[in-house]
Amino acid sequence: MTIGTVHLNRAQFLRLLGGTAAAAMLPVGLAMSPAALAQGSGELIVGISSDINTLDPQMSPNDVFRHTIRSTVFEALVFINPDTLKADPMLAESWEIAPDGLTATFKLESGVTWHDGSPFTAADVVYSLKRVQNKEVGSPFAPQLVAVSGVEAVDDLTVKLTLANPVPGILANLAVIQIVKEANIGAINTAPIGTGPFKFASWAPGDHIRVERFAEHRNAPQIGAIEWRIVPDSQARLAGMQDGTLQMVALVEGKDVVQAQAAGIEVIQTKPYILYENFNINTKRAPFDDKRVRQALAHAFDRESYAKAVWFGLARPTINPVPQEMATYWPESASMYPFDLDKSAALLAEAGFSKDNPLKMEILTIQGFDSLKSMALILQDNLNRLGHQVTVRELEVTVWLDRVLNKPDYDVTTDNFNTGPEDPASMFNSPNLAPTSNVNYWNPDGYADLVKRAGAELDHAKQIELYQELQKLLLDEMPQITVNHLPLFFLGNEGAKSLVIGPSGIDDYTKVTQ
Amino acid sequence: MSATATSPGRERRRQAGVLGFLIRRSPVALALVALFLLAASIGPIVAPHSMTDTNLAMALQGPSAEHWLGTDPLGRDVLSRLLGASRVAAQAFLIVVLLGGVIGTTLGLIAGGRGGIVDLLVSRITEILQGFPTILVAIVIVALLSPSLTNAMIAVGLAAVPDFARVSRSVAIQLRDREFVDAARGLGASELRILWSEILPNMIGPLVVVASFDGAQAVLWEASLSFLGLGVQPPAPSFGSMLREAQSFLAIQPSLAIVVGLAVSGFILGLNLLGDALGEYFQKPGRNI
Repeated sequence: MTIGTVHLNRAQFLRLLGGTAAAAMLPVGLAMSPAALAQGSGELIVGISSDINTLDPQMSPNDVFRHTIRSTVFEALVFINPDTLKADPMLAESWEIAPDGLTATFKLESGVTWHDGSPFTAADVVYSLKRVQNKEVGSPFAPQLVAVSGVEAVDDLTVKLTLANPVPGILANLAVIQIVKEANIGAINTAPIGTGPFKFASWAPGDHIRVERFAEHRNAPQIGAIEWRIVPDSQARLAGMQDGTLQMVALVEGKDVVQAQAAGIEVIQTKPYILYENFNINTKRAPFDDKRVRQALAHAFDRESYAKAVWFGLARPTINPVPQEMATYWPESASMYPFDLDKSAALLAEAGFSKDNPLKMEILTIQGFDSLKSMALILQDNLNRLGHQVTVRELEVTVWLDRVLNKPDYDVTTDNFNTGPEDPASMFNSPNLAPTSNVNYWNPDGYADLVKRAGAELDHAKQIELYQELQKLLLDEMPQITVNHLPLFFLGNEGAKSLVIGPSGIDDYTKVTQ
Repeated sequence: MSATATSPGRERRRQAGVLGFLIRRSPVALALVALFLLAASIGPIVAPHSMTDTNLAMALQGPSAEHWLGTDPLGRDVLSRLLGASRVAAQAFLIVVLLGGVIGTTLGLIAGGRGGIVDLLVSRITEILQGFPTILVAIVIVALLSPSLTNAMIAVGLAAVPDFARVSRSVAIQLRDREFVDAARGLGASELRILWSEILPNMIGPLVVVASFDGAQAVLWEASLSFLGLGVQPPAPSFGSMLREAQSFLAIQPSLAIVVGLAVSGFILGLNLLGDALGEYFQKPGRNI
């Protein structure tokens, strides 16, 4: 999942209690004092919507977390360059993948030290990868390494990976596995030690996260420190940008971008297809096990108007989660599932639902994600106009996680997810679509096999063919209704513009100035 | 006093009295409250558009001939939604006043009328109830049950119990040893009958004042809870959820926040002014509804 966590903690809760006025004032008020300090010593203060829930970089894929600790305190072997979508060196200086695709050898950067001064070696990499694979650890990144059958340290600066089958996207997989230090594991949740350009300084849950410049880093940052302030209210974050108490705001929606532009604030954005918004359907539950019902829902949502009205044209409507920029994109999908309420009514009638026997369904949506809520309300309105009985329920994120992932009890939910444009396999191995563990409980005959074959195919033309077949299956079966593609949006001042936002959520803050 | 005020002629005169007083003393409050009562009762029928129909092509429009107060982020008519929200607010008012009023007044009457250990118990219980912050109790109740107007307002109604209980208790204590009560007692009336027909009618005035304040508070609580997503569920409109929506679009369509903000402030201001005026009216001895 790529949604940010919105745990309600005491500080936020008190802010909520104060109602509108207090919610708008308090975070700004809190952010006021260190502002003057920020200008002098090069501090970057970033507004984020919600807190992180761990400091262990291998344990949480949540959005907020990826863009904070994971991007600054820790490093992976490689970094996916957002312009080329290819792997750049990070902890690995160079690499070589055998012609048969079954081994990958990484030469590590020499002279790298951990924040505590101890040297970084191949043994750390071996430990980190094995830890992610360890079932008892339960890392959400484990699926990235399913094909890795062996990891060994050839010497202090060389690591060799053995693969069970060729994995064309292995570098993209490794780009999200942050390297940790074995001796630090016991303390990783209070005082994490990494090799990244910033040292962990403090985390006051519900209030702020702070990291400071690691001067010995081979690519030492331009700024002295980054502090992420948790400011749940989007208007308060905008106000913070305007009065200078915040220098950057992470992950904002279309309405915030439009308002920021009107106020003369810089918008930093990625390629326009890093994220997709969708409706996830519980295909295990009747009547959503009938694909005609799912197809009917797809016809009942006006993607074009949604992109225009709710995202102010900043989103790109699509029914296919695979972006058109990827070589594996299936072009015929562009004309599929136009907004057509008659068609929707006809499909529902075929499945036995009409005004007299209305479809009863509940759409879940997550608090703090206004665009997702709008999506739910639009689908609700269109179906209710056909005489069906749709309700929308907005849930706090922990409750939502419970009802969608932990103890599945839902009909349809709104969600958003990374497209993973650096690797065609990434989307189909994500928790959103992985055959064995997707949120839709959807795994028709042949799907798992197709995903496996596509992921292991080395011939480019054949690979495209297999991925197009997957898209055909997905769009016919419609276990989830894709609505649009989106960039990631950050707001920032002039110096913050040098932020490099990585496609997999690992950002480069070293070039940012203040 | 009201013990003797049973003839229909006198009652009518007194009603004219309070209305006349309000018209002279606080016409604005009366107009505001009347306007909202009208909106709540016939609003949904006279609404120019559907409250829930989205029209994305018309999203975030300013006021126009078609949409007098503009449209919201999903293209729904703001005027129609405001009319719907007034009904929700009026429901909140009613639930809270009825729940708080019935339970609170009963408790207060018994406590004040009986005195002694009963009074002690009831007083302590209401004090404990008062110790809980209303919104916390409301959030807990809504979290335990499920978010809905009724659940949210039950919580707020319970919070109103102490106000009614304290006022009715103090009136009951003032009255229980008065001559007309003694007279009733001397005629052989039971304690229950005395409470019901001698004491209760005399506290209607103060209770109406409490009801107008607590009702205004209820409207505010309903808006707060809906603002947090804990009140009326979408797509039904409410002042709180409309304000929250408006807040995110402050720079894009400020009229949204202004219109809803004015409506909710106007209603609450009206109720509070009315409460003040009623309080003033009932301060003069011998006055009653």
